[in-house]
Formats: sequence, C-alpha cells, structure tokens
Amino acid sequence: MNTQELVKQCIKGKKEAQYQLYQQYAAQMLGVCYRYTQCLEDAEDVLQEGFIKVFRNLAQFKSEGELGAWIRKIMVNTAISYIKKHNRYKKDLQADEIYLHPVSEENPEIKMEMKDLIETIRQLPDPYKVIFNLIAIEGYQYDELCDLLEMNVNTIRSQYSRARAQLIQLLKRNDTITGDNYEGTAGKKY
Amino acid sequence: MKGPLEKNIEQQLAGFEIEPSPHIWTEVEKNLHPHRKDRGVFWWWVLLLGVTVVAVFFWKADQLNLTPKKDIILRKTLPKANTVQLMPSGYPIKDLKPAQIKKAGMESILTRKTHLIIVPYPKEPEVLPVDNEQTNLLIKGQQPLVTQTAIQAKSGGISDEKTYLAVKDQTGKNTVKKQDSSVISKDTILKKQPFTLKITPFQKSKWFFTADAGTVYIKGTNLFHSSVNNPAYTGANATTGGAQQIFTTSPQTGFQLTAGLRYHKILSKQFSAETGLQYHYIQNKQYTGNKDITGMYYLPGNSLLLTNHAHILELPVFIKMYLNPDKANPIYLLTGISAEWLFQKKWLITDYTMNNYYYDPSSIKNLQLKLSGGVGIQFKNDINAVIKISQGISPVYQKNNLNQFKQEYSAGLLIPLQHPIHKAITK
Repeated sequence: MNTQELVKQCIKGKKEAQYQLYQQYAAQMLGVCYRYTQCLEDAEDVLQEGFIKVFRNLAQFKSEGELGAWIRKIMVNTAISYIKKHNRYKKDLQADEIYLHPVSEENPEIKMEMKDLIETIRQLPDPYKVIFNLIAIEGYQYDELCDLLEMNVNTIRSQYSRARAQLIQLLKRNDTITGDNYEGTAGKKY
Repeated sequence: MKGPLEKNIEQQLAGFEIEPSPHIWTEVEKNLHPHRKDRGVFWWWVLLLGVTVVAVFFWKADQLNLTPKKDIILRKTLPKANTVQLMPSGYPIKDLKPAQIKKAGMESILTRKTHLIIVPYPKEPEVLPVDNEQTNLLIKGQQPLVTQTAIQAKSGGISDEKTYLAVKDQTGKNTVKKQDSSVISKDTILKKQPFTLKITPFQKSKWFFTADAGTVYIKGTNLFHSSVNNPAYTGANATTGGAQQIFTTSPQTGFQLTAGLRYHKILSKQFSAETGLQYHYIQNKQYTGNKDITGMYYLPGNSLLLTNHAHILELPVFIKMYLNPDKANPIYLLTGISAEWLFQKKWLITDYTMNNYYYDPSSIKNLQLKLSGGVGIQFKNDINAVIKISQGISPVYQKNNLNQFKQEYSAGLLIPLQHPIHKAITK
C-alpha cells in the first residue's frame, strides 16, 4: 500500500491502516519526542498524544507534502505544548536567567556515538533544549518560532546562541570535540 | 541558519529511533475508536422512556380523572374540536355539551378551562332566582339556560343584546342585566326574537407557533457536576511562566434562536403538556491565537476572533403546572426535556491538556439531551410569554475527560395557530 492509499484508508478509520502508519513512523517520532522531553515516559506521552492528533487531522494532510515531515511537525508541536503545560518543565522555563552563557561562535567537529550526542543535547535546560532542537535540528527560522514560543525574534536568537554555547561546553567536558572553528564561519551568528 | 555544527549534529542524529512500548498503540487505538455503544444505548432508552410516558399521559389523560368536576362539565362527552354545532331556538340546556363560544365583536368570555353553555333566547322567559352556588340562570318552564363557571361570574358573566345574565340587584330582587349592567325589563326581553347560535366546542388541544431568543454558553460544568476538574484553572497551573493559558481566552457569550411548532394539550385543571418540533440555531465568538506550525491548531491568545455555530433540530416535551388556573391570565411553571440533533456544526474544541483549540466535527455529539425549566404566563387570547433556562445533560463534546455542556437562557412567545377569537357565532 503506497502512502496515498494508506492515508486514505486511515481517514476512513480502518484500524489496520492506522496501525501500519503508526508502525512506519512511531520509532522515528519517538526519537524526535525524546529530544524535547526529560524522560522516555514523557516522550511516549507526547508520542501518544501526537499520533491521536495525526489520525484526527489526517484529512488536512496535503498529499503533495511529505507525510513524515508533516507528522514530525505535529510531534514537535505536541512536545512544545506538553512542555508548556507540565510544571516540572515550567520551572525550568521560568528559571531562564540561571542558564545564561556567553555567546559562542565555535563550530567544533563532534566525534561521539549518536546516543551519547542525544543525551548531551538533552542535558541542556529545557528552554535551550527546545530552541536548539527547533533551530539546529528541525531547521526552523527564528521568526517562525515567535508565535509558537511566544517570544520575540531577539530573545529567540540570544537564547539559541546561549544554548549552542552551553552545548559546546558540555561536549568539551565530555572530550568529544575535535577541531575548533570551521573556516569562514567566524563571526557568523546562528 | 544551519552552520557546520548544526549540520554535523543533524547528520549524526539522522536515523535515530527508539522503539515505543506496545501500550502506546493500545492507548492511541482506544482514543480513536472509543466504545460508545453502552452510553448510546442508555440515552436511547431514556429517550424511549420519556416518549412512552408522554404518550401514555396523553392517551390516558381523559381516564385519569384529574380534572375537578366543578370546572369541567361533562368532559367525557366533549365534542371533537373544531366542529360547529347549530343549536336551535329553545334548545334545552341539559342536552348541551360543554362548549366554547365566541361571538364576533364580543370579548373572549372564556378562559382556558371554563365551559359555557348557552341556549337560544326563549320566547317567553321568566327570570328565576339565581343559584349562587352554581351561578346558573334559570328560566321558568325550561331547563337551565345559562350555566356559568366561577371564572365567568368573576369576569362579569355573559351578556349581550341577546344573552342575558340573571343577577340579584341591591335590593335582592332578581333582574336581568345586559353586559353594561343596565337593567332590561321583561318586556324588552320578550320583544327579542329567537336566535340561533353556532357553538364551537372547547378545545382541549391546540397548535402553537413558538419563537424565542437568548444567550448560550458552552461550559465545563453542568447541574450534576458543579466543579471543574481542569488543572488549567487551579493552583500553580493558573500561571504558565509566560505562556498564555487557554482559560484566559474563553469563548464570548453566544446567542441562540429557536422557531417551531408546539402541540399543547390540557391534562387537567392544573396541568398541561406540550411537544413539537423546533429549529434551533446557536452561535458564539471565540478569541484564539494564531495557528501553530502544523496549521491545524489554534494557540491561546487574542489575535483571532472565530465563530462557532450549530444548526439543531429539537424535539421538546414540556409539562406545565398552572399556579393560578382560575385567573384570566394564569401563570405557570414549565419543565421539560428535549432531544437535540445537531445536523450541521462548526465548533472549536478546547484542549486544556495540549493548551490549544482545534476543529474536529467528529468530536461533537450529534445527539444531545437537555433539561429545561422556566416560568410563563398565558394571556386571555392564548398567547404565552415564557422565560426559560436549559441545561445540557449530555455533553456537546468531551476532551481529556472534561465534558463540555450547553447552557441556554431564553425568552420567547407561543402564538396559537387556532385563535379562538376567530370563531364567530352567527345568527
């Protein structure tokens, strides 16, 4: 069954098709959710809520788009909503000032296992982790995130720079960085 | 925006996957395909029971003998509504059935439960003492000619140029008086020619056109669950560290309109029942933020003002209890239950857990039940004015175990389609 047919069957409410779609994307999406949350249980909560949204709104998916990317957007949004809602995340969001770090423009080369890298990113405080994931990995522009994060562009930009700097410090601490700056990137802001 | 560090991380993370626990799919499936059959069956049984009770009530109303004999005479022999009987001159009163009489140019002399029996003007009437108990006008040599109920007596009795009321004057003498209280002599009466009246029967049931308007709310509470089990409203959750919470962008007050037909049936002196079919429209405005990155969900905020609406067919059943049935304009209490079918709707679902709004027509329940209560007044011309409060007892929708119910406040009119004043008595 191709993607288009699979989507059609899911919209009709066919359980088999829904399960097939879930199987196809669940592991990948849990990987995405895991980067935003503090533990695997939270990530699974987000995954569950995200897939319910996916199936309820599948009719809105435009077939010319890529289904995986569409589902990923929903997962990211669900993760952010989850973080906004839960107290243990809010505490970190409110304690934003504690995590001030100098802006870094380094571009070190990372030599570490994928799982270790994920864990290092997850060590970032929640506000930094969210912004870093959204910009560095999901590829969002600063202005695209204003509504979602309810912050202005300058705040997002500065928080991203600090998140990036703190990540580099963590990577250095783990001795997993080789090299310093990539040529031609000095002075460029991310 | 992506620099070498970002690209490096993205490459390293490509293909990162974690196998989810098996129960996740079970939960997703449960949410997508809930077992609603049990609840559905319950509500259908409630509806069936309600309809049965009302049907039996209507069917057996005559046999229940709920009506005091003082007010409704010969109720078992009431002629069918809308028929016209031509009564000949000198028709004996004992053979007349309770009837409602209207004559062109006369003010309505009957109220909801009164019965007037009137006979043609006799050729040689003789006024006899008025029976104070029965307030009957008796004419010698004839059966009783005019029977009045207490209500008619209070409203001045019946009298016009051809119909007379026997009363005692201040001296205790029996006289015949016209409506304007001027005493007419026996000679004057004798000059009158016999006449014939068309008598239309008293109507025990009647159709009404109904219309009302008012406000509507969708709330997370109802009569049976007075507290809101919603974490967004309480304690530390009331603030979000900068993120706007959904409860700060609650819906605006909405409005509702209703129009339809009602069938009204008198059950007894004090009770009557109504049912019918009504079209019902509800609408409200709701502030939200912009859409999120998926384009499917509205974030909390006040940047957009969206309209929710629903078209509804309503099947109500009401019981009315008259507080002062003997008055010319009786006041009544109203209670009832309605089954509603939402045949078209567009309503934002509020998701407190995810802190957003979205449209999901499949989440709105098509069949709903609501209870209503109110107070009304019935005027002499049978027009009713009613103030009503309705509360949904089945949810409009349910999200995260929080049921959302409809609450309505309305004022409206019931206008009789068979207005008694149009039934004329002809000579």
